[in-house]
Amino acid sequence: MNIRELGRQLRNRKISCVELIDQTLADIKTRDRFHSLITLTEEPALAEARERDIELAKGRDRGPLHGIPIGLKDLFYTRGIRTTAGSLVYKDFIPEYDATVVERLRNAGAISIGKANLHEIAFGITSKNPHFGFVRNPRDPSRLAGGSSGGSAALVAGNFLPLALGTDTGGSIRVPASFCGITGIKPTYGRVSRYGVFPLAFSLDHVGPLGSCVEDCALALNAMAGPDPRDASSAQIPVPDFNLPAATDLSGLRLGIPRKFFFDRCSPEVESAVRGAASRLQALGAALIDIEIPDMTKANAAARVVQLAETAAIYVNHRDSTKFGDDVWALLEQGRAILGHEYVNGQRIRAVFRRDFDALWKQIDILLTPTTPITAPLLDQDTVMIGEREENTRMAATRLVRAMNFIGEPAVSMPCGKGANDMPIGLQLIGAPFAEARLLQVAKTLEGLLG
Amino acid sequence: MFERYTEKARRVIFFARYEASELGSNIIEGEHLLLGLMREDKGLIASVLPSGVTRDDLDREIRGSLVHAEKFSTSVDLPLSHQAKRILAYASEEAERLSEKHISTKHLLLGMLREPQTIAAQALSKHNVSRERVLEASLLAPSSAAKVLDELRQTFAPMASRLAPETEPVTVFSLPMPGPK
Repeated sequence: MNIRELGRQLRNRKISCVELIDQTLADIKTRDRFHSLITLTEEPALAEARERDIELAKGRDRGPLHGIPIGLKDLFYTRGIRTTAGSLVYKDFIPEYDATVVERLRNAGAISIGKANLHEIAFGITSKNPHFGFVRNPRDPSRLAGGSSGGSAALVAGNFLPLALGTDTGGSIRVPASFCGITGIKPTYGRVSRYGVFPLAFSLDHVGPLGSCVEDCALALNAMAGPDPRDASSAQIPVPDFNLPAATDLSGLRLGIPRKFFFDRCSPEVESAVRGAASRLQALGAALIDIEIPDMTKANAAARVVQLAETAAIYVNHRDSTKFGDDVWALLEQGRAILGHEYVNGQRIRAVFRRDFDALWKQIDILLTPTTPITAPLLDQDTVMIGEREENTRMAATRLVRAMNFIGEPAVSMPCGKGANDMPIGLQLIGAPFAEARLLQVAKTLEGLLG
Repeated sequence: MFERYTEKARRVIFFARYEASELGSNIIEGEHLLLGLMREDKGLIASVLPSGVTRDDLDREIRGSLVHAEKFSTSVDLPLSHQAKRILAYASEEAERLSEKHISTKHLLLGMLREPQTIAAQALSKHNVSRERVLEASLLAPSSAAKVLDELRQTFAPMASRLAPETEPVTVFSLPMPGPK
């Protein structure tokens, strides 16, 4: 059930906030076999629900999120509640304050029911967490939920909650959204505060929502976005209403379809679903523009250099390999071997891509691509076949999403059909910096068209 | 007992137990440890075997010299044989001798070589896998990090070398706006 429907039931008094939280907690306890959560926070959730009920009875309505149960990736600081980052290093860490977004969502009335499982320290896309359990895909538990926000995605895809918070440094919101068949948005760099969120790579980290539909994400973003004096990367830019009604006419919309890269190594079923979605938008008036885009292979390489170095810098004091999973340790070792000039040049290459994309936005409004070239692989699948070619699962899953962290553009992933294995296919809509409102409106329109 | 083991080394024990139960042994022997290691660390095994001999060859030889019995349930707790226990003790000794804090797959392999009567040691020495060979291979083998970075640099380095001198890096640094006086 989405936020709008739950909100209607709460306001009709069909159900109280306490009853909704009670039901959600009971549902998770009986049905969650996906290792979605690291910590369930029953008491604080029920206490908040009681307050929200009293407020509603007195006529105080905090808005669309009032009383709505949500999940928080266990990367967000929560005052008095342990925040593990999915790591042994922080397994007993109890923050003394809330992340800005946690505070803002609570002020908007949302009620967190717990801390969601994730790929260890958010560095990976499988969410096969060696310390807190492998997250499983609710659409098929033998498959990956994706990551690193895997638990958040599983909570939404498993129909436990309409909304969960995630973070995205190289695809960590969009990949699990794609694999689990839900919607997620990585907003523009600087749009949402990162204060009180465990960093993975300072210049690539983004915070965003994963929701059961586009509107859930838009409503969450309305509550989360905006300048924060406690976050130096926070953009001093006004926040519009992100929850616009679906468009009935898309005339004037220039929809870019990339000529290269995004469809080059992509499974045929994903390509045909995404191109099919483009035709639906065209039928509503959008102009499809076959467009030359900057070299994404290069952007990905530079993004990896920057990410490896920044993450290694954060974890430089943690030298005990037994505290980390093998995959994460290998990446930390790679990061320590990046040279100073390489990191600096990675940041300079970023400036070049920034200019290239600024030029691109003069020709189109939105770029439409697949989110992942494949549907969710099996849990133990280290490689995937795309056509005749075998590719490392992690590289394949992040290939089409990583560059957007590097240049900072907002990007939505939403479901668009299913593959032969009955697993969801994910589509990515990319917009110009700070154009989230229009991006989400087009996504909502497409959601309506796809049914 | 396994606190000092790396994750890979721990998984060798896990796979050894699995191999023992699959092969119908009610005890974990040296050869099960080797089969476990061959499952977990393919790179290490490949680096110590002479060219022309594959991991599959070694696997076949070991399995060929074993008596197969009825499978055991993996839920039955299997003990380590005395030999296997000695191999683990040697592995820990090897880590200390090399001043390495953690017990890794390399140390387990060195431990196996020090129990010469076992099927594991015999299979290894048949292919001239010696203590020296293992140490040499572990020194020569480029680290997995170096391999990944070599590949990454093939795309990255040419791009970096073409940057214009005046291209400034994108950074997260910004100064606060001056407030009212």
